[in-house]
Amino acid sequence: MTPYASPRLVPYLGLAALGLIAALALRRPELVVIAAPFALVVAAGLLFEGRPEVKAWLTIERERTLEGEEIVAEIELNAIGSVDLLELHLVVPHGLTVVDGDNPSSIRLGADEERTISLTLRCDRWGAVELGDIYLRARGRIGMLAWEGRVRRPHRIQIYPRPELLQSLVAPLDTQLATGDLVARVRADGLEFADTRQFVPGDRLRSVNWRASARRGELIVNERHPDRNADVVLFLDSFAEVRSDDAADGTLELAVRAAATLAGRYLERRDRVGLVTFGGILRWLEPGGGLVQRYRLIDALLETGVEFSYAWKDVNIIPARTLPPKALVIAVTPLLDERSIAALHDLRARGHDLAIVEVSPEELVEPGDGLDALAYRLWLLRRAALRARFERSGVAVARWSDDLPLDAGLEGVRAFRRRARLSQH
Amino acid sequence: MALAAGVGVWLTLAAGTDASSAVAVLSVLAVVSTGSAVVLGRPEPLVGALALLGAAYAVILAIDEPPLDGRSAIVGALLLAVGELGYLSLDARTAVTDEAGTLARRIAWVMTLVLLVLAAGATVLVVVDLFRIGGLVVEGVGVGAAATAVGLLVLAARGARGGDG
Repeated sequence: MTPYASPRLVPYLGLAALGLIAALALRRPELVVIAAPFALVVAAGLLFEGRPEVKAWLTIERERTLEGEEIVAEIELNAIGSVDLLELHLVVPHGLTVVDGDNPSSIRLGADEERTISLTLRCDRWGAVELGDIYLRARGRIGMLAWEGRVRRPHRIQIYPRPELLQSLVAPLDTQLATGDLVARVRADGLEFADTRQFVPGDRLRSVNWRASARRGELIVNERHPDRNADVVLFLDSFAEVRSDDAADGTLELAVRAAATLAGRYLERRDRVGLVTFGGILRWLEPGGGLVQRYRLIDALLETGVEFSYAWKDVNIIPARTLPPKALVIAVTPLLDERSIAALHDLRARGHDLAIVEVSPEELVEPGDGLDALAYRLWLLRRAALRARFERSGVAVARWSDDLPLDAGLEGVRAFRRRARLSQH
Repeated sequence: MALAAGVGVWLTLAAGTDASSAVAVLSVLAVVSTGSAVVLGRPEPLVGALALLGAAYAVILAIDEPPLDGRSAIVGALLLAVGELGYLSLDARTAVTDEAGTLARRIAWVMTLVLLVLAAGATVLVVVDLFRIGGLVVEGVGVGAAATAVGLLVLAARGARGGDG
């Protein structure tokens, strides 16, 4: 711990010196008597109060938690000698808020006494945060010197995004070869009835539809749709975000929450899910399934942030394995940056099955007055034209904001795709 | 602030007619300076207030020229109390939440310190008074000190002879 002079030390010495000089000048010993206490207090503080030995440890209730949950952090303190006043401050990173307990706080520690200070922290925002910087300041009773130190007991806390309520998902146009929960359009072994046809050598007797065979006078077999899985790639736009002073969450927080919810739900039904974070820093995760993939996706999402960059990026830099040809690409984007908009058009032009969940920034922007209001209306019109352009190219665009459930946003995508399929037929 | 004002009023009342106006002005300035420290949350005006109160007392000593003034121990203790309580009030404004009883404990310590300082100041005054008055008491103290020094020398010599022998 490093010693620092108390704010009283120099002024008290100055007053003592002033009094002694005045005593010599005026030849009055009384001035020595009124100056002496200040000098004595300084001398006593410097001589009798030595460096304190304080130790601190930090324990966290758990290191993985959900957005909105509370965790308890305990600071354990121990001092070899007594400390009359020990001030401590746990540096709480962005994303955590102290909801119970005092921070900073001060206590008194007796010799060899152990004290535990509990703080309840609320996890406000998803992300990976590091908690563990504790600043200490110790003073003795006289307090001419303050001893300051910093203790590092790092704990990495992973705050997972709060899952949104979602009852049904967007169905991909094509399925893959592996077994899953989706009914494929092809015909093979499965549970879902597809059609009947004539028996050919090699068909199994189990597939014979005896009723139809009796009616037709020849062997008729059932054809079925197999259960297959699909590849889903979540395309997260992290070039730009909008946040307002009133709302707790900006567009990026909503986007990550939506992406985490979609990833979890698609993985639950045995689809393979991949991730592309398209922004100042490009990150990708090849499609995969299972619990390991879920943790990989969540860890990748926790690292997402808006990284400012002027560099132009397009989909060519994304490895081909990350975007399989028949994958359903769900873009979660505020449609603010030209680079991500161009990338989405490019994906569609390459024939990818694309759907867009627009995390609407319009509710977070104040219209303003006069020219600001006119600019706001023009901006809304531009965004409407952008959506229409996507829809003309066959891409479903659904608007979603914090005041709507995610299901309502995805219903727009599902409805567009249903209409598109019907119009094709 | 109340303590500073009380010291200022007391010094003004204790001053003679020649010194009272100067003491009053200095006391008022000291109280204003203490108030500034409290309002602004800065320690510098507090130090100025202590210097002004000390200067007010020095004016009394310079103009009224009393004989050895026993009030100086009280003035010194009160000035220390004003300083300590002033810094305590500034410390209490920080964002740090104190444990229950901390403020009371610190005030009690200030009171203890003031009493100790008062006792020390009174002792110094007695010693100074003895040296000023002189007389048998002082001569007695001198003889006693000399006898103690001789006794220590004899003991040291005996110890050295015992080691040789």
